[in-house]
Amino acid sequence: MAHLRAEHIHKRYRDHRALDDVSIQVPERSIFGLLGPNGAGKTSLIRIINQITGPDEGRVLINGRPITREDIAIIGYLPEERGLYKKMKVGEQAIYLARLKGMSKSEARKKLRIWFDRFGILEWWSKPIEDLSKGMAQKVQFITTVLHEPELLILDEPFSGFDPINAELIKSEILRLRDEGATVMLSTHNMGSVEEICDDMALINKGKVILEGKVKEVKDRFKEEVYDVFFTGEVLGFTNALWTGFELLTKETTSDKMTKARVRMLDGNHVNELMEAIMPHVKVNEVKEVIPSMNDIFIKVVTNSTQDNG
Amino acid sequence: MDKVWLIISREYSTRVRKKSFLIMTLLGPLLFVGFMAAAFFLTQSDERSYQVVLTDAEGLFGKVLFMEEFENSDFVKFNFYPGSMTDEEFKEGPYDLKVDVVKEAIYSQNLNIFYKDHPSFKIQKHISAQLEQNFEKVKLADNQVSKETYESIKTKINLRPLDIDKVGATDLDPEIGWALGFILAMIIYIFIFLYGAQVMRGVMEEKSSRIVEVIISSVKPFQLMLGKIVGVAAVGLTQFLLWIVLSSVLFSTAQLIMGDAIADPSTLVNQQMSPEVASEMQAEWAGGNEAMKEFFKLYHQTNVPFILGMFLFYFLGGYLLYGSLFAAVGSAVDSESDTQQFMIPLVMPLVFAFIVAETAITNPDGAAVFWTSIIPFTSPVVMMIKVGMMGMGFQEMDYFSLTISMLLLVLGFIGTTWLAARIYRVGILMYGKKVSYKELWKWLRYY
Repeated sequence: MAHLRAEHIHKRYRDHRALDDVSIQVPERSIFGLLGPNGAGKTSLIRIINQITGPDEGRVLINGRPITREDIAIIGYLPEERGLYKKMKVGEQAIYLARLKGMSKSEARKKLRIWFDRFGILEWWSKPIEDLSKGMAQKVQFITTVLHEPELLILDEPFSGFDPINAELIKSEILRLRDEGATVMLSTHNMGSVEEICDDMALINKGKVILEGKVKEVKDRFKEEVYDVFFTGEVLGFTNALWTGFELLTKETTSDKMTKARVRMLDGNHVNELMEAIMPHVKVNEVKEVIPSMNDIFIKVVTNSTQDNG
Repeated sequence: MDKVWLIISREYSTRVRKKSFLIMTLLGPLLFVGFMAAAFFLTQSDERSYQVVLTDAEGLFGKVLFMEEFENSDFVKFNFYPGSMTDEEFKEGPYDLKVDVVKEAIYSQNLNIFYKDHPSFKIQKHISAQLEQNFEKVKLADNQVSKETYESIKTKINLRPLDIDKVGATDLDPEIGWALGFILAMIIYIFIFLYGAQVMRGVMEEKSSRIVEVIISSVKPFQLMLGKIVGVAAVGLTQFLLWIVLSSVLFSTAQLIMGDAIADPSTLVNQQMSPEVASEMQAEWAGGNEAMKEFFKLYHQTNVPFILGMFLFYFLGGYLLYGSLFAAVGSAVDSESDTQQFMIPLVMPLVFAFIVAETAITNPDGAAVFWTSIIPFTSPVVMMIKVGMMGMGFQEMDYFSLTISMLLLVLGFIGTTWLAARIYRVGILMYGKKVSYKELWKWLRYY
């Protein structure tokens, strides 16, 4: 069942159309990646889901019913533009933000201690934010986002501003939160992290959804029947064997006389036919299907859709 | 609603705990009392004495004027110079001031006094008093009137307006009521700008530190704005209260230290003024007992709860009206330097109100005063002055315009808050855009 659903969202600003009939579904207890180039409309959509702005048309459903102001208590939102009160002390500020979300003071204090301890930042409790580095402040902000144990987490670019070690920490925390039952929606430019942690995704460009589905399925959809073949033996014989029904894309010889060739299947051929054709000529070590990376898919889809439109 | 409380209490507690708040709270009364003391000591300080030379080109002295009848004081010494003195001679000579005494001068209203260093008002006052006295004698002699006759026909009238409905109640100067109103209006004015600017800066801080988006994902922008405005108002009231308490403590301490000087005007008068001026002033003070009586009379005829209530109402009403507009300005800009163009229209109405307020004393029922006292943008100043006059019984209670004025102020601040909220909710999420009035107008029409 979809935990969060946005249906036919339209949002127009005076000079441009930010969202044009956007619909997405975020399944329960999963991580959903909202992708798209800069200015695609990701933040507009996220702000509408958080009820910071309203849509011109369309609606947002949470657990199957239209979202209301009361739902903010079950949402944790980390905006792209991070910020905290610079002069306020870390602990005090975290408690304030937690209370705005409806937590009691004592409960907030108790949970903050646990989180601060886990992140190893307990000693920052009484420091003003302005004394913290950017990465440190981001950690505090992440904690304030998830502290009230929201069932729906909306994270806009959660990894930006973190060094690789801390990005890894945040990544594992996001996975842990999902395993504990939260639904996570995140927007990111970091395609590697999408492949690693996202279950589902939607790609927006120029205010429209141009690609969506399970990450695995999307990647499968973009498979092009291309295989990498690793072999030893006559390269000429190999090339001749591929005369019909296959296309040799690239080939390179690696150190120990091993050759790696990238081959595309033609005429509905399959690996079996490929093997039959080449086995008499060379010794095959490994055959591996080439699965496109999210990065490749992103660039391809966005470039195509931009060309179609423009 | 409890979230608004949470915001109010954060705004309040972070501001009250700031060092600048503590410093301002302590410094305010110190500065106030310090200025009073400085002014006091400056007037007390030794003034240099001036040598005045009276030149006698027409040989009047010895016949109608007599040098010995000019009284010297600690600061003014009169000297006689026979014949006329050229400018060069005056410049070279030992005298500081020069008056050419000629017959024509005696009969004219204006008299030139040449100086090397500009004489103070007090010095001038002494010289003119001496000249008047002696010139009068010349005129009396010219007209063959005796001094006694002259004294008996010399008339001075102090008009005391008495309300026919309250005969016996009012025999004081209505200026006191006006002055009270003016001081209260001034406090409102200062408060609006001091704390309005704080609201504006607070909004800008939230905007530039980007925390605003986190907060408005938890509360409505309107709640955040309202919480800030109310929180800052509470800070202002606290500071105001502390100022009153500290000032009165400091003032009574200062009085103890400096002794009678401040408390008793007669010592002040005797020490530093010429007898002529002193007697005039003393007449004005009318002695200690008389002054106390007047004061109690004043106190009894003053409707303190009315004035206090109205003050609080216009104080808060005016602040709320302008405070929300300050919040809107803060939300629309990225930096303090961009605020200028939006500040002018906020300052103008109140400055205009003070100009009108000046006329309230001479023409309290005029059209200008009436309209500005009911229009919400000027009423906190102009109506306060009327309140001062009404509350002290110098003016008929004008329930009609008071009701309209209060009603319009309430509607006014609801209106500006609504207007400001529409600008605010767009402005706080808008970065890197130099905003014009045209742009603000667009924001108002977003839904």
